[in-house]
Amino acid sequence: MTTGSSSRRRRPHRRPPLLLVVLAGLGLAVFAIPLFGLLVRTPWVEVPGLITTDVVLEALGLSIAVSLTASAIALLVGLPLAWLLARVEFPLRWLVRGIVTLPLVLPPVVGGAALLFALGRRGVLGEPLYEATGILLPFSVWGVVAATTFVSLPFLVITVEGALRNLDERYELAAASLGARRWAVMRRVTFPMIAPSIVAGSVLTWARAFGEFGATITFAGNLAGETQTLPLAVFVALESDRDAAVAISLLMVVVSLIVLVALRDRWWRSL
Amino acid sequence: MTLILLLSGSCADASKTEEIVISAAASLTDVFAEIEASFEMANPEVDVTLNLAGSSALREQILEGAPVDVFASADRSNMDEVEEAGRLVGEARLFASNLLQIAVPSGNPAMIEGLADFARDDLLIGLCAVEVPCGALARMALARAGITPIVDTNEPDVRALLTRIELGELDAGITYVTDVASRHGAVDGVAIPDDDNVPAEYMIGVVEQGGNTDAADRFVGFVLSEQGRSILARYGFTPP
Amino acid sequence: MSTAGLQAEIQVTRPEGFELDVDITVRPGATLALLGPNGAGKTSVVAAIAGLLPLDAGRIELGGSVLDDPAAGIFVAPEDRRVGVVFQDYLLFPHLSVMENVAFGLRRWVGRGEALMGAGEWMERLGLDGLADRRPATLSGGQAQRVALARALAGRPDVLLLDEPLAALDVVERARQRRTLAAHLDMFSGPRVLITHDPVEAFLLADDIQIIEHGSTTQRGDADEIRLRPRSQYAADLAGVNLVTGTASGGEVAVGSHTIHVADHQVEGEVLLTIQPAAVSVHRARPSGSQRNSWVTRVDRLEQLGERARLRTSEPLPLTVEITRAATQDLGIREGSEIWVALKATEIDVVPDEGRAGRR
Repeated sequence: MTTGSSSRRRRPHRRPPLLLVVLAGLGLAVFAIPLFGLLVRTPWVEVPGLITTDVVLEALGLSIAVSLTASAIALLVGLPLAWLLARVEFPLRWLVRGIVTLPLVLPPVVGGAALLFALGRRGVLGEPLYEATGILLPFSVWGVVAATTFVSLPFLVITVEGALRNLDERYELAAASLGARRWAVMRRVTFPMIAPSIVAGSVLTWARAFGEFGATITFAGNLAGETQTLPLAVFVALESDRDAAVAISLLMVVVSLIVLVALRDRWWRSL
Repeated sequence: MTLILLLSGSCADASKTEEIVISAAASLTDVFAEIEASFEMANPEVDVTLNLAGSSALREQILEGAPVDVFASADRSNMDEVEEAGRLVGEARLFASNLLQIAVPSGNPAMIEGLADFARDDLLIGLCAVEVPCGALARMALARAGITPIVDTNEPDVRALLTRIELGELDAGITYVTDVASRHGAVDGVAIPDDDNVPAEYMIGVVEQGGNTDAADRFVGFVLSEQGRSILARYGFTPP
Repeated sequence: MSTAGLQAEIQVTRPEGFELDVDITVRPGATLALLGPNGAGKTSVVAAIAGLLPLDAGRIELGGSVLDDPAAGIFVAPEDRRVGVVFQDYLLFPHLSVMENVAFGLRRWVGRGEALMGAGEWMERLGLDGLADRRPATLSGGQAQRVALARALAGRPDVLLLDEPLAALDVVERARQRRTLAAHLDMFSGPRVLITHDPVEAFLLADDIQIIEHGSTTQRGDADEIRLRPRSQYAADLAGVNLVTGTASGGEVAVGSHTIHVADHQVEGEVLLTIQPAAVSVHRARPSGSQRNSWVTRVDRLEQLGERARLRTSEPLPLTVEITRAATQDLGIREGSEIWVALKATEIDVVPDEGRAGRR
């Protein structure tokens, strides 16, 4: 079959180019090295004791509750906003899109400061709200929810808006021709068809919310049991008890990994 | 005049042959800025860089091996840890004291009168986190006065606490006298009786791993000198 | 289901400047095929009837109720019309099963359980048993087409609109599905409008054919009418006949510099002449006989098609001529040969050319 020494045998599988692999390896290192540093520093024996303290458990509970709440709010207001941006041509739409993307670009601390100026006790909106109703966001868990929602909502809106724009609108026309009214079309055709993207967007939103620090500490303050989420607990622990800081960090990594691995490829592919 | 001299001093970069890094507690921000300027004027060949943060964070950095030349801590315990780890050259020296003071927004809208108000639930009270010297001392002062405070936030450093008070987001907090003085006009102070007050002791020491022990020594000397003390006094620090 | 059928006067100006002005009438139980070149406006007609494209002027009436009448301020939203549409790429909902797709339109009338049952019945009628739980992506072209039809029919529409229903299929599949589609269309007792660019499909499936070119109707009639008496070049191309324009006066038609004698001495002015390729005879020398028209010309192109041959003559009047293959051999004809053609006046169909006359 082979014609002679001058012909090369074809390999059935071609290996990827070397340069590509090297660069990709560097990319992986960006993630792996800090994680490795964390694992090396971990005082493994003391970890169980360190993470079962009241402070840590409170922070964990708060982080989970706040991140889930922020994600739920994001879905509630983010889906309609995404729909509006994708489907309705209104004046200054480009500006609205820019504003929605702003929290992604702003340093979270700046976001927190902005929230303070707007919704703090002496804030532009916060002061009248406080005078009238006694509602105060800073120093309360709802302040944490506000700060967290602020930084994570854009992820949902952008993901879903992209999905809606890529969706063939003719499916909705087909549904209308079959007698479905607007809400029915959204419920039975539009959103089910972009469901994978909604899930992906929600996961990104949750992940961002879970790790939020700068806006939270600037706006909501730091009080164990009320506003001290896991990231804040780590920051404060770094001041005095390095081992505790490492242990809590490890806890965050584990929780995040559990969530992301549980969803596996399903959500990643829909981004 | 001073400004022009300062600018000309820093513009002559070619003459800067030595660099030193000073890790200083956050509450030393303003006073050390002036000390840096005065020192550089007298020692034009030295370039001083200030690294400001909470004393515990600075301690951690040094223990992790940061190339720092001088450590100015807001309490003894952080300096002791650095000393025990063998990072100091020579001994640490006490160079200033700072008293605690209640800080309130300009005009004292909540009409705070003393530490007793810190037990009121209807007020928004802030302290430094217990992990930083300011927070530890504040709690000691409150304990001395027999008050159990109802706290709404534990800020990670004294400057953050001060900013919240300045903005009116908090009704009161406990900071240093120097901090209240630095925000003169925007923040008012309410005195804490001497019996309850716990003075903060500021320690300064030369750190070996910065690599420039000579210039570092000169800096520490400057801080401890007449000139250094008068600058400190102007900012509200009490002499050791 | 009503018995009054579909009546529509559709006038729409598209943003690109395209103007559509078409009248449609379809009796219940009848199929109208809209035939025409791409971009002629056929899909817009269907879109207007479905309510996806509002009229600028005109009126659409279905089963006695008015769906769209801009002058009277009436516009019924698409979801409130009873229109069944089979879209060009079917648009089956990819996230639903075949059964759920078919049942979709029924949900406006009945609850879930009954809708699924109704869907099942339609699937059986269209030969889709066993596909109930499949996803649209796994269906073959022919299956998808039938599912789309079942979905449209199951929704209990008053009119059925099909936009190039077989265009997505390959040639063999298309021929096969054509026959079944004809049978399925007969299951619907309302009026049906079928868009196609395939004349064979139109001829086989439709009772009436309406040719739309550049936004207006150029001809309407049954298959024979279109085939034998095409009124436009497009129609003529469909039918494969010769279509010639000229000016008639007293039985003589001037076509450029050439004159053709026709049997009709009454018709005057701009006319359309239809000449069947088989009606032209070919000779090697000037022919004798009764034919009023004969002239000398050359063979531009020669095609052998089995037992027949089609040739194209050149000046003064290019025509497509059909003769037997044997004849080409006997006469020794090849491309470039000089020949005489003869044409009887009675073999020429003459009609006034309204199109050209109107477009002065």
